[in-house]
Amino acid sequence: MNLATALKAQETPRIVAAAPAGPPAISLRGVEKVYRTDRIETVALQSLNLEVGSGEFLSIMGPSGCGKSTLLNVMGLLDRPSNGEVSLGGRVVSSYRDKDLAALRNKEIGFVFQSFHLINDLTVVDNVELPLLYRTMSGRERRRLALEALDRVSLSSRVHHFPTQLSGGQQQRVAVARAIVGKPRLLLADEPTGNLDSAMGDEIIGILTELNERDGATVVMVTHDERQAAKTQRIVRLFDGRQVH
Amino acid sequence: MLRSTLLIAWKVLTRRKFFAGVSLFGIAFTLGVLTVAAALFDQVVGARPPEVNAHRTIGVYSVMLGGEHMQNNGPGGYALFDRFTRGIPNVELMSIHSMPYSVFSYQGGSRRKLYFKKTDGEFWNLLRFDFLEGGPYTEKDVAEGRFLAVINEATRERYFAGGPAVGKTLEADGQTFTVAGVVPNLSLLRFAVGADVWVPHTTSRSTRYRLESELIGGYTAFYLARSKADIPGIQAEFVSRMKTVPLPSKQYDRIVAVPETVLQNVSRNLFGNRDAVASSKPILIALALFTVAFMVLPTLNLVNLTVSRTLERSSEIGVRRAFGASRGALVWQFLVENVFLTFLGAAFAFVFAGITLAVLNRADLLPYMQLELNARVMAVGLFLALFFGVFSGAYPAYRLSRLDPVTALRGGAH
Amino acid sequence: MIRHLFVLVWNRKRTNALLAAELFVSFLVLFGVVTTAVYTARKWSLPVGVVYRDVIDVEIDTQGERRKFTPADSELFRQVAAAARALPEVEGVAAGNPAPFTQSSWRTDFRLENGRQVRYAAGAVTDEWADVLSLQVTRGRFFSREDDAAKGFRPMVITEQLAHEVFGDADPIGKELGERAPDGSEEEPYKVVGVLAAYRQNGELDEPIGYGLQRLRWDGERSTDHMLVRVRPGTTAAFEERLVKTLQNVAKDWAFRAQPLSASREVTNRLYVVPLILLGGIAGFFALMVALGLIGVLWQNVTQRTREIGLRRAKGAAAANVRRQVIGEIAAVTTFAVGLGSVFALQLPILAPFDFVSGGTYLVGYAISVVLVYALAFVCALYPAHLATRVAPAEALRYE
Repeated sequence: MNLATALKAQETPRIVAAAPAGPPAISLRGVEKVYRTDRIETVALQSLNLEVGSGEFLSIMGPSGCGKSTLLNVMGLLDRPSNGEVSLGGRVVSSYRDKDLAALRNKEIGFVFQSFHLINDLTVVDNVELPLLYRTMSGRERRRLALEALDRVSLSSRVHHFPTQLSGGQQQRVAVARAIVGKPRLLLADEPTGNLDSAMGDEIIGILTELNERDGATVVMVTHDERQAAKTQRIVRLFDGRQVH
Repeated sequence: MLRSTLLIAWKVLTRRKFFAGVSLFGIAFTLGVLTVAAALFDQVVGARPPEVNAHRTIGVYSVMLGGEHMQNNGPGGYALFDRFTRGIPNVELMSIHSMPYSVFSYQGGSRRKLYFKKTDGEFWNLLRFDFLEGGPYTEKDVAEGRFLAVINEATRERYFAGGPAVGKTLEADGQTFTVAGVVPNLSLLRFAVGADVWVPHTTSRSTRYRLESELIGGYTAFYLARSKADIPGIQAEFVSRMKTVPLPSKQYDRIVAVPETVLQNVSRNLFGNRDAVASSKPILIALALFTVAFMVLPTLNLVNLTVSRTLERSSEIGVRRAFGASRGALVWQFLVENVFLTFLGAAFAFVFAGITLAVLNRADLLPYMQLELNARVMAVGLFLALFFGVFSGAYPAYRLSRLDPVTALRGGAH
Repeated sequence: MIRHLFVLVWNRKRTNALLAAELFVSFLVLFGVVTTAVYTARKWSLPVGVVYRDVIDVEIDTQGERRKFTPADSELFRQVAAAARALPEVEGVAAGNPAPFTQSSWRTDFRLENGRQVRYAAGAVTDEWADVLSLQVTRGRFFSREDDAAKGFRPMVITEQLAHEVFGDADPIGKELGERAPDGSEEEPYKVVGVLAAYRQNGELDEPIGYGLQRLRWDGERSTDHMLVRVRPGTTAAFEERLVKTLQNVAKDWAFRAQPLSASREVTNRLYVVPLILLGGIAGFFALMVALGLIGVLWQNVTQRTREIGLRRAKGAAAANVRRQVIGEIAAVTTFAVGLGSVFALQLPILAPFDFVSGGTYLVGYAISVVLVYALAFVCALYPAHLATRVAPAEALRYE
């Protein structure tokens, strides 16, 4: 299966836009994140400086509650840092409004989640089309791109199934197809193998690796699994919201 | 995009049958009641035969004699219209006729109520009745005081067993009339034109109603303008002529009468300055406010149901936000979903309203009530469904769209 | 326990605020409808004082406005009455305005010396009115020929209710009613000559307002357009036809309409009852809608809080405890809604915008609606509460 995927990848056009040389894919400068409730202040991230080069495959590791997911959310522009600066492809996005951030996420970033987050009421292909709904494009074009992305994860035969009819590994492949359908430069994966057994997990890592290697996509992955992290180019370790080396 | 939104809306709806049922019940009932109200409203003011020229017809529905300590308000007198309002420029046709009044007619030892309307001959030219049989009486018949009558279908059914009636005689109110024509039943809600029996005003028992002093006295006058644009001019001329009318006693210092539409009349009497031509806006605004007030409880109910299911949809919201939906896009999505729901409810509402109207028509609350779900009423119903959808969807849409995507993805909504 | 409940409710204030808003509006709607129902029931239970059976109301259309009768009109009117009286079926004839069960009414008001405003309904009737309608005189007497000689005042007969409102426990007979005209005009004051047990012009559903009857003279210039004819029991519509023809022959220029009071009573009652039925129907549907909606929301809440409820169960809360908590929470929300609603509802007896609705009516309506809202909330919480007790402790740990 892996081999088949790899072979196919050579024939199909690059599905992820190649990153131009130049500014890093994403860079964080002095980023802090503090959660405040009525009584308690929780520091999730502390004076974090991190640069992810274009075309890099990076793992973020650390114990539970160290701020890995918060970091990924900040990088994915889903969460605003309390302090510091986030730049995406050289643009400082700290001052962007919700609408602009949404547009950036839509074009530049693809997410893969631990628990898939597929919409069970929609078929596989409708799920994959979702990011394209927020772009102006014809329905036919959307369908074409979605089928192309599904082909990329070898799920062409499951197009009209519903997510609940698929295995966990297949669901996560649908999620990957959804993440790449809009040809983003940056893929963010939050424990993508966390809910899968090791064989299925390997398959997903294989796809991510291939996207990184063949298509030049920048991939940032949060994981608990040293074995999976070892397959990536660089590992960043977090402890209590700080980067440790 | 719309397809996908509607698909999701349908799926969310059908996922929990109980919620679907409760939501649709509330929507259908609310819209159903409002549609019935709209049908009632349409029956009173909507243009339909015989009022084919309703848009350029104005009428004087009430006349007020005003003084410092006295006020006398009621339908105007025949003489007021006859003597002072003829020959107003740009009036194509003018008709003076009485408000419907009930008389009793005895037949085989039982008493029957008949609504009479006294008219002139022009009445039949200004209003276009579809005669089932015979025809109207003419201005000449009226001038000669001939005892002719136009009756409606129900009266023909009662008195002539449905058979041809023209030329036969009808005894009512102690007078005997020869039937000149038969017209279809017309609801008495259309009080300005409807009746069981229409007779020449000259068949009145005395000629007193033609005295100049009879300023108040059960009559209405219709003026058909050449075009809608002529109406303000006619109203101004009418008002200035009223200033020349001699007042019956020193208790009064003015006479207030304006030719207007039914809505303008209600508006003037309820809200406006009674002495001036009123716009029909206040009454329409009042009706709109009433409609909104009626929707408050159903809206809260629907909002609660929708909001209680927020958690169910938090994953979807998180994913949409992550993949580039702005808050605005989500607001739009949930509004469309809600409007879809209310339109679905409107379909049930129309069935509900149809049944209710049939029951009301049969209940004989008012004679010949023919409430119907016509295109105009349905259009109002659909507009109300749209409004209700936006009104009741606004808060949930706002709330769902403000969910923090990180929290939503974690599966929490609070 | 109760404090804990309120803390819980407060912590979920956003969700609960919406629920409370719905219950608040429901409470106000219920209060309006129930108060109307209580008011109607009260009206229904009050004595009417008028016997409407075997009385025919003859409406006279004198063809044109007549504020005053000329001597000729007056003479004709007396002839009409005499013609009616001459018919063998007729037991009595009276004239007056407004007649019972006509929708017209005449309201007037004046200020007492202590500044309180008294509003009452009035009518003008001839001496025979009391016999024809079998009115019951409790004090003094009804109008009679001896009033012809009245000098310096005009006689008036009032109801016990009006007597009580104006004179309290004092004997009203011989007292003046109403204000003297401030401009010192010549109008003579009204003086009470008799009191009626009750007189409600439009029957059981009429506004329970005090009534004052003025005297109408057959030979006066004050005009009237109704004549009441008491007939022998068992008289049919054929008689009405004969009656009208008889009268018509006397006054050729006038038109007559005869109808038994029992028939006009039916029409009048329908005018009162139909809106009440519509109002009640709509309110009933609304209540059903709110009830179903509430069940849905509470059900959903229980589903979403499976974890919390499971934890409580795991910590050893008995099923009864969990049930009590779910019901207790909605009770707390309801208390908040009712509290807020009370602030509005209790303005009514204070401001009294409708002077014909007594403060007691509002309070009874208020009490009933409070009970109803709590009952509604309680019934709607039963099923969701039952579901909550079925949550197994283990489920809490599995549920994500």
